[in-house]
This record gives sequence, C-alpha cells and structure tokens, in this order.
Amino acid sequence: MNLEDDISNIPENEIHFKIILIIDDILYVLKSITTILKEEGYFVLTAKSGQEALGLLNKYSPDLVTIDMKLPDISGLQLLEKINKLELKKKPKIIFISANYDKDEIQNILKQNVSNYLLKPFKKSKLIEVVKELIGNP
Amino acid sequence: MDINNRRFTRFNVKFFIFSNEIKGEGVNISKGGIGFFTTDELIPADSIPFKAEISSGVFGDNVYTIIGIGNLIFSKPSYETGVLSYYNGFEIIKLKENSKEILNDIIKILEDYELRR
Repeated sequence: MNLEDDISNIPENEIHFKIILIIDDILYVLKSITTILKEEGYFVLTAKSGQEALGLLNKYSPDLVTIDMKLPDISGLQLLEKINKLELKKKPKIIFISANYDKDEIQNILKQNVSNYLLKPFKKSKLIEVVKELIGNP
Repeated sequence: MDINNRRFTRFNVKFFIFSNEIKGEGVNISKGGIGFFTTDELIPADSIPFKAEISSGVFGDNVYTIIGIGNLIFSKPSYETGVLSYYNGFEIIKLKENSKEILNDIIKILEDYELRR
C-alpha cells in the first residue's frame, strides 16, 4: 500500500495531520526531502511532474507544496500559475526551490502567492525551519 | 566517485553557491566530483552553479578555484571525523574551460602526494 492509498481511506474530517506535496523530478532530491519531512511527522506526497502534481493537489488539498523550478513537462512558474487558478478547499502555502539567483526573477516569483523561495542547495535545518514557520508542527 | 576510498581530510573546500556559502573539509576529488565533510546536513540538489575554492592541506598555501555546474547527490551522517558531521557527494557536471585544466592540476598534485606517502 502506498502513501496515497493510506490517505484516501481516511475520511476528510478525520485528517488532522499536515500534508506536504513535494514536486521534483530528480529522484534523490525527492527521496531526501521526503525522508526529512516524514521524520518530522508530516504526511508527504510526491510528484515527479506537473501533471501528476495537479492531480494530487485536486485530490488531497495539501497544506504546503514545494515546487522545483525545472520539471520535465512544465516549468515551475507555469505550474505555479496553474495552481493559483485551481479552486481548492484550502490554499496551500508554496515554497519555490531553484538554483537561479536572479534577484528580479525571485521578486517576480514571490509576488505570485509564493510563501518562500529556497536557493539550492540548502541545509536540512533551513528546510524544517521554513516548513514549521509556514504550516506549524505536524 | 569512490566514496569509500581515502576518507581522511586532505584539503579544505569552500563552495560559493550564490548566496549560500558552504564550507567543508575535502576528502576526495576527481574529474567526476568532490567528496567533502560539512557540519550541517545538506539537502541534495541538481544543476547547481558553483564556484569551489580548494586550498590548504596537501595544497599548502595555494588556492585553486574551479567554476561550473554540479549536482549534490547525497549528504550522509558520519562519525569519521570524531564528531557528528555529514559526508557529501558533489558530482561535477560541467566546468568552465580553464577550470578543467585547474582540476587536472589538482588531481595531479593529489596523485603525486599519494605516491610520496
């Protein structure tokens, strides 16, 4: 049974834990962030493409979403626009992850309902700090 | 990169990755990448533009700088330095033309050092 099966069997009003969706197509990155956030006690969903992410967003309405700038089927920015247009039960907090240090682009991204912007690579402690700041403890 | 080989500090490495300055103690270096210890666990990441300064230890007073793009593949806890630290594997994807020559020089110096030991 995978994570999605686990959560789909729980009635919505009984979900009391925080759900985080990690969107990244690089497996070792996905695995590392997932392990760290699961160890902290969060419920973690993962998506390797924009399309997969949109499906999970509609289905589970996560509390927080991390988006990598480069995805195989869509850019992180395009995905962000699509997420902003979704009619979700609750608006997720969004962390944008990128190796791009263009200040203008960072400012532009932060204007689009993005809660935080993390420059790669970053420390584990920084990730946990930002997540807790945005959605609190699990 | 053979991460099990020669796990002792032989030089210092300082990565300047835009605003994120990451300092580490270098253990291995090859054309494929750099193995180094840090005090903090890092989150793996791909396609990172970097500038790495390699100095001290085997290299004495010389400072070698290489610039390129790489992937941070792993960051694993380790007690090999006597205290909890993290062993990181940084894969070099692309180097600036002159950085390739500098990296070759660095590898040659390390190889000569190993032969003398």
